[in-house]
Amino acid sequence: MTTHSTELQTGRPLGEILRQAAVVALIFLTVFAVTIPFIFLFLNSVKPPDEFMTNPVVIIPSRFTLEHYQAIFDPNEDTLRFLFNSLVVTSVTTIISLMIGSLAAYSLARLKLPLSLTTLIAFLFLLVRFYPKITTTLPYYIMMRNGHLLDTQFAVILAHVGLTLPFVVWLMLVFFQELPKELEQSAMLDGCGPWRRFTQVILPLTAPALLTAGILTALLSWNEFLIASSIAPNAAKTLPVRVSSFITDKGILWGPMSAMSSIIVIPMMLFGLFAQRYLVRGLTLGAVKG
Amino acid sequence: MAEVELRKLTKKFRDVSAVSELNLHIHDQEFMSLLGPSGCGKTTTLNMIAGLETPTSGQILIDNRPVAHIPASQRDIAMVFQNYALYPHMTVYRNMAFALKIRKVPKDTIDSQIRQAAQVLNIEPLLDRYPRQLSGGQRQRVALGRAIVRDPKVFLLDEPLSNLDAVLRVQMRAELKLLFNRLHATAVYVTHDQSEAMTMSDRVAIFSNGTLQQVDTPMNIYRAPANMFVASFVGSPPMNFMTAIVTEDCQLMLDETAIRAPSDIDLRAYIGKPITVGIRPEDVRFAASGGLSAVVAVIEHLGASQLIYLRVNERLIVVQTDNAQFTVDETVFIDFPPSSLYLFDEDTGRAVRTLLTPSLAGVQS
Repeated sequence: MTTHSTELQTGRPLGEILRQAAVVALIFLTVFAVTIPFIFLFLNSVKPPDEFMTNPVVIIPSRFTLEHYQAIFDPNEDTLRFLFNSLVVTSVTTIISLMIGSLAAYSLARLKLPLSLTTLIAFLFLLVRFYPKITTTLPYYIMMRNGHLLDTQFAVILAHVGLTLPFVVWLMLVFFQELPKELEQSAMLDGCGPWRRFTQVILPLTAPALLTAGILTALLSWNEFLIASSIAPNAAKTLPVRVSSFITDKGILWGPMSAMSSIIVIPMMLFGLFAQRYLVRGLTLGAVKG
Repeated sequence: MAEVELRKLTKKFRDVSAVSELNLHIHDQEFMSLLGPSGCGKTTTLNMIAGLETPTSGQILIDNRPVAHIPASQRDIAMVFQNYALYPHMTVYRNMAFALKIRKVPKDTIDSQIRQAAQVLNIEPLLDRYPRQLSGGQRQRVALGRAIVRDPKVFLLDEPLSNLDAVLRVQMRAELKLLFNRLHATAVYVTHDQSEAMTMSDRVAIFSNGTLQQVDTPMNIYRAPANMFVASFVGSPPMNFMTAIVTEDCQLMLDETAIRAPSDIDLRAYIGKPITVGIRPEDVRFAASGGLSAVVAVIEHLGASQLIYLRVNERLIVVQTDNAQFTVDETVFIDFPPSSLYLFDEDTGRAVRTLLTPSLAGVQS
């Protein structure tokens, strides 16, 4: 009877409500677990300096301050230059990787090579991702030094393209292989040569994949620290490298470090939000209903 | 418009022959169907004409010019694909305009050609839509429209109706026939559906295992099949086959019953040997008595006609008839009119067609 009356009041049985509450709680917990480091970082960036070394740790600052942000954007600091470096490195890396990667993948997908050869080439592309990045850092350093490219944006771009290209090739290869071959044959009979087929038929249809590859490439390049710090430690320094240099021999500058870390996220977040909209639109655009 | 000639055309995929030594002449303004079961090489042939596959050997001539060195993009051929292959990111209008734009046709010419084709195909209201917003039948029309606006030398159609539902397929079949009658175009039409091939084509080429079995008009193929494959593939329900022994007096002995052989065929080479006898389901006659005795096994009512499966000794024979009242397990008598019999060589499967010379015919009868 009780269950029945609950059902009347809410329109749903009690068990159903409890289950939904559990699902919502679980979702909140997951979101919390993912965002807590970022929340902590942000709280640190607005925390007065004297509250960093207390015991117990102060989580919610007693007052909010913007002094760390003012400090990193002080004209004497080169934050804007590092931001500029990061933007140049990331955008150029992404553009080059997508261009070369999609062309390479398209050729691999369409050249009638024996399957074993295609697999071998694709495998070689992936080889660079098999060993820890630290093992490639030294070779990159030596190559850039010999090429007199140390501490230039170009050096970082080269290294980042090397890192992201295999990923782009692999992702695009799968998409190109899955595209119905009749579309290309149709374009061929309509009078398209290979270049026009690629740019006017294939690329628009693989736009969602290209965008996905673009987002992931940009994220990888934007956040890359290890190689950038070894081949571009000064003038061509990128933001992640700058963050690490708040760890000095005199101590760690927690406040400015947190402030800059909070800022680094913003451009990628905006880019992600922007791209996501087109990603969804692109996916429906490409769909061919049976 | 143009004529297409295939000379000793062969295509091998590794060691497997998809098409072997194919000779076929498609006349100007002819509607030619390539008919056969799946995997018989008909689509491979089409792709070779289009330039999408390279022949292993042999020649393709379009208007008497070999086209081996001409890439697909320059052969001036339009193809309608089984899955339509419309560009999903372009509107119907742009789909139809695409090939013309590439050929740098002036904008107003493109526009008038598209409007004209759209009117013919009844797709004018759809020009601004995307392929995903269209039904199967509409996509089919757009795919046709895209081919028509180009006014190509040759139309290639690869099972264009097979993705449509049964009702629409029959309707589009008639529309396609009307359309091509109007266009006076050279068309090569690939299908595994004999009714499409029979109803639409000027001539039909029948394929099996990569080799051409017979090329002729639909009625000639139906009435004079070159071999058992053609005889069994064309016609629905398929032809009945039985093995008989040719007697001394050139008649046929089917089990214990003697059947009269067609009077004009010379059977003397087969005396004492087995021979395959074929008869189409609609040619079997019921008799009051005499002839072969049979037991009614299954009756299928098709509306205007009915199919009756008869058990004759150990074999089943299908009979198509329009006005018979039978019950299952009833014993009936059937008769095979000699002029409706098809005879095939037991070993080669080829039709036995050696005609008796008039004088000999007189002797035999």
